[in-house]
Amino acid sequence: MMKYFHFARMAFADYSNNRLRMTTRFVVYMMLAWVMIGMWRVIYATGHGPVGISLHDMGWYNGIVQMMFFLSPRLFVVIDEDVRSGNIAYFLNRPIPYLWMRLSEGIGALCVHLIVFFTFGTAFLYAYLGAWPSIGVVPVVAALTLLIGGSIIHLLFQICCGLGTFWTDDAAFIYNAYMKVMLLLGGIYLPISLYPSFMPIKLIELLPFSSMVGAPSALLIGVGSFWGVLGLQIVWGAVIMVLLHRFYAVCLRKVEVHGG
Amino acid sequence: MAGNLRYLWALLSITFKSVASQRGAMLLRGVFAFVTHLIYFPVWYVMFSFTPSIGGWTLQHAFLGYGISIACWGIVALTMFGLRTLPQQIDNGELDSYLTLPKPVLLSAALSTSRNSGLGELLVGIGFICFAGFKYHIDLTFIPLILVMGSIVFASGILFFASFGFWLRQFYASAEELYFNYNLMSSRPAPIFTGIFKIITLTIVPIGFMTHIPIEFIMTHQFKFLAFAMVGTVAYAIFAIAFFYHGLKYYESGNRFGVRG
Repeated sequence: MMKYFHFARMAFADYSNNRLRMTTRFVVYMMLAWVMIGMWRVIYATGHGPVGISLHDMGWYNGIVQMMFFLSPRLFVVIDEDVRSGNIAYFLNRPIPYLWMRLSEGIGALCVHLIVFFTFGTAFLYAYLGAWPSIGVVPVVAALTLLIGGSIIHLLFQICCGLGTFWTDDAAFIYNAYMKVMLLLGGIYLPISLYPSFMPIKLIELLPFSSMVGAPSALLIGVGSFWGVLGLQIVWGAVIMVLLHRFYAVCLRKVEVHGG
Repeated sequence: MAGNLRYLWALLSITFKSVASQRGAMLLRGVFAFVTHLIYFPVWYVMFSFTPSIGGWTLQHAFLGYGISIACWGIVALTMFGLRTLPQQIDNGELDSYLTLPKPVLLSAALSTSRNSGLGELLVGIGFICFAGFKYHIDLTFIPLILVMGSIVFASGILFFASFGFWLRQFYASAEELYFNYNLMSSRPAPIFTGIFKIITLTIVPIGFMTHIPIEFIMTHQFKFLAFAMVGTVAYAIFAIAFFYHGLKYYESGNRFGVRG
């Protein structure tokens, strides 16, 4: 395990030293959160806000949802470059599985983002919205805790997208497709509980996308339970890890057949 | 000037030949782009099933906004992908070889590479716009002009952000983040941008000239909006190009200059 720790430590140092990247990311986050909260402000102003959820709480929901996208590093880009440049062949010779090496690097970078976004991001939301959600500060802590699990699952999905480069020569468009699914099924624009009746809400709530972002944030509007979401994250995390491991084995065979 | 135009045409021809030579990959990416955006658009259906309009912005505005933004993304990816890799080109000293050519550096750097997934996005964008046109009886006469203007605004925005790479090392990842969100925000409803954000959307991140004001023109047929968008597009393009050349002067004054055969 120590070797994984050291890869995570190096990624932590790299990401914490690159202040420009961090600042850009945070500024973009603030802009997107501001815009999304602004959208709900307009909706509430025209009298179409959902009954039982105040604009203030919806603001917190949107702010935390947007935060999720900025916590994980863009790991698929690294894997995409490794595959396209052929560098992956050098990594395969090392006495450490490439897959878990990249995941540990991703977790190292994630830790930097967690520190920055959980402190400054929460402070920004508090300053912008003026107070904690009406349900209290504890659900904020619970939602942020669940975002950690969601971000790790997001990293696993990113690795899947990155490994897709073996077939498509470009991970970006696979990642974009994944992100669009996430936008639709993750409850990014509005809580899943408010989805119209033609959407299979019960099914959507059981999918990994919901457990990664929509369900943790829904705690802020009094929907769902911490342990239920955590259980779902653990199940989906384990399933995706197993599938990813098998997918990686297929990719390895492809490298061995075609060369690095 | 005529020489530069011939050079521009030659570069574009090479780009299209390259795209056409990879038909399989292009088709796969095109299909993926199509499916991707079809998956995404129901988000707006969900949103507008909840509220009939967002400050006057309805589903037809959303179709047009998303169509224009994704088509512009596709046009820029297809023809000017080099703009997006500019921070990398600067970091790797790749502009050196263009500096030795008698042609404008910006043309060479911008049009040197392309992404064939752009074709899929362009077609999807046009598909969304046409669907909106037929379903809601919207006059689409000016759409080609609006797409050209939108692409210029988007490309100028990319150029502006990418030019920070002259002063900031390893800016590529940050710049990619900015381009993506720049395009994403252009498809957001115009009425949600108020106050300081309204000013930002008409100045440093001029998504207003890319989607919001042209859509206002399409829906109201008031030519003052088109004129405003045109003036804004030209002004922002001049500003971005001037900023790039300012950065290029800084690059030329560096000590990394080299010439490759």
